[in-house]
Amino acid sequence: MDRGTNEGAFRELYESHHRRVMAYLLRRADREVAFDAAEDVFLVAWRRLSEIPPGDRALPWLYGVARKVLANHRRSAARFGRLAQRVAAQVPNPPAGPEAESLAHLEAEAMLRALSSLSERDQEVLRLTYWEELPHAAIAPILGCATETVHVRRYRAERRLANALARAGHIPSGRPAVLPEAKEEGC
Amino acid sequence: MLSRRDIGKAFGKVNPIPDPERAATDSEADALFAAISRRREAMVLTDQESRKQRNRAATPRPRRLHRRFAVVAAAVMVLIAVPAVALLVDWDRPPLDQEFPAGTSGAVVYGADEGVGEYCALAMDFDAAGIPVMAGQCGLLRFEGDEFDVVNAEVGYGSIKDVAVEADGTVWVAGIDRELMSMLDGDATTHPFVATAVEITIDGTVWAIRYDHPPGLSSLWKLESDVFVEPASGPIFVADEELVVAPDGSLLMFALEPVDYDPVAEAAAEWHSYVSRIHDGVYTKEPIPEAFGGEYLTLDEGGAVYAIGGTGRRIERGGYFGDDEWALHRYDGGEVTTVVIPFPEPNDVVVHPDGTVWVSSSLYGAFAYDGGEWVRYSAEEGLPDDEVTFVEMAPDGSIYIGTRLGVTRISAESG
Repeated sequence: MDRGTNEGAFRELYESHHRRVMAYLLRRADREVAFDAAEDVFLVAWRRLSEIPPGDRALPWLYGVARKVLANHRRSAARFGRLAQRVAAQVPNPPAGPEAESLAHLEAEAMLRALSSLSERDQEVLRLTYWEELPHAAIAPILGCATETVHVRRYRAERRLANALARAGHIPSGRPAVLPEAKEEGC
Repeated sequence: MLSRRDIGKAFGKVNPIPDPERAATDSEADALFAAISRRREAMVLTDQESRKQRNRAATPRPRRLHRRFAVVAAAVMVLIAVPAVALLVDWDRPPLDQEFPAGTSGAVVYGADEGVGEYCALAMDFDAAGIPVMAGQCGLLRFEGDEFDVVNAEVGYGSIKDVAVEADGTVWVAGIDRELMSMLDGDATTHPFVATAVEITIDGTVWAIRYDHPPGLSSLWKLESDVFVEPASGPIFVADEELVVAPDGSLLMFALEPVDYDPVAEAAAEWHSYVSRIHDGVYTKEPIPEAFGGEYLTLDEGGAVYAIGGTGRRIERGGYFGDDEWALHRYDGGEVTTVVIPFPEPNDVVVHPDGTVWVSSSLYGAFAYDGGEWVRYSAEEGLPDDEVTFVEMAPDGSIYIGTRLGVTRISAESG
């Protein structure tokens, strides 16, 4: 491809996917980090334009790059705190009074606290499944796994999340704390 | 509030950016594209400058002041970079070792050319003659001479968790997504529940962990007169990963015990987990502290129990307190000894008669622990892949390490 064709293809890639890439990053980092990371993601995309798969597979490819970029921005308590506050602020207000409102906020915060106690790999498979709403076949190349492995890892991540919530006393049902968390990244 | 089945739905509701279209405004998107364009231009200039520098015949020697500055800058960079690297490397990588342990005579790899394709090595057991029987995506495989042959391709799927072989050759295959199956001479029978572990005790009894029964939990069942029933004496619930037969014929598992369990609400005030045992129909709990919350279990020849679980230590992570490390606990009837596992994601454990403990990791290969150090065996040492699915020991003492791309046998030294 010549420079003009590259330019057009890159512009089209950006226009098609930048909001979803930004959403991916904002779900995992604060705004400042997310925008910095977005620059890095699309710079990688520019450099490797010819390697990006066509069609529906382009977005998972960009997610895979975004995941690696964010790996350099390790989770911190302060960052988690800001994310939790933001999520709590975005939980729709219930129609009932202040008691119900505080419960909705508590559940959101409890869920994110439980999430933060999981390994990065467990967190990522849950986020890709439920926040990016990707099928297992699309998650597999992002994590570098076979589709079947994604299935098993999602099952285990859900179990660990339930355990974490149970340990913290936020769900009376579900499994107790029998699965310790790992702390590595990667598939 | 939530059952396990609803966890995913509840998790989806805390999506911080539910609508990607609102992730960035038009002006933010334009500003981002402009920033990317500037960096692309800078990249081009940098590349051009690099080419120029490479073409220069000699690099001018920096003056003393610049050299001092360079030394200070380098020191600052080291001060910044070393802690940053330490943060990124969050586990102690064990030393690599090119040699296989004493008492073994080398390794043989069985990959796609020997009948073991991708994710075909998910679980292994041995028949009465000590021949490996393996299950995975390729189906049920049996070792024949120098390769693995497919015995039954129909039972193959990617979430197989366990396989067990009866003395008469009946093979049991358990895994999430499909009902428990048994096969003899090519005829397969399906049993009406999903199981995540299956084991056969020395008296010939077939035991299975019934997954999601009751919903959100698992329970122990045994085969009696061709029908699975709950044992008269046993744990109320079990962790669904592991069943192990002890040298004395007893069956070990991780039991889960609720306090004030409400079966209607599927809720309990507290939960406890124990290594427990059924011997001659009698259920007992091992005196291993429940705080370990184990997941993987094995025994050595003398009957000492090895359990992999948490350390029991409480470590703060991002404002949340919980077990943060894996540990290997050994209990021989006296004291419990505990060793922290220095790598993530252990997923299986066996103990060789020479005392070496083999622990596999779903990410980083297999590790041999002789009481001193953990020696890592990875793709660099010849494993088909670093993603390990199981580690099993054959009756002759050979160690089989299942990986994503094949299985490796480390032979016992036979002379």
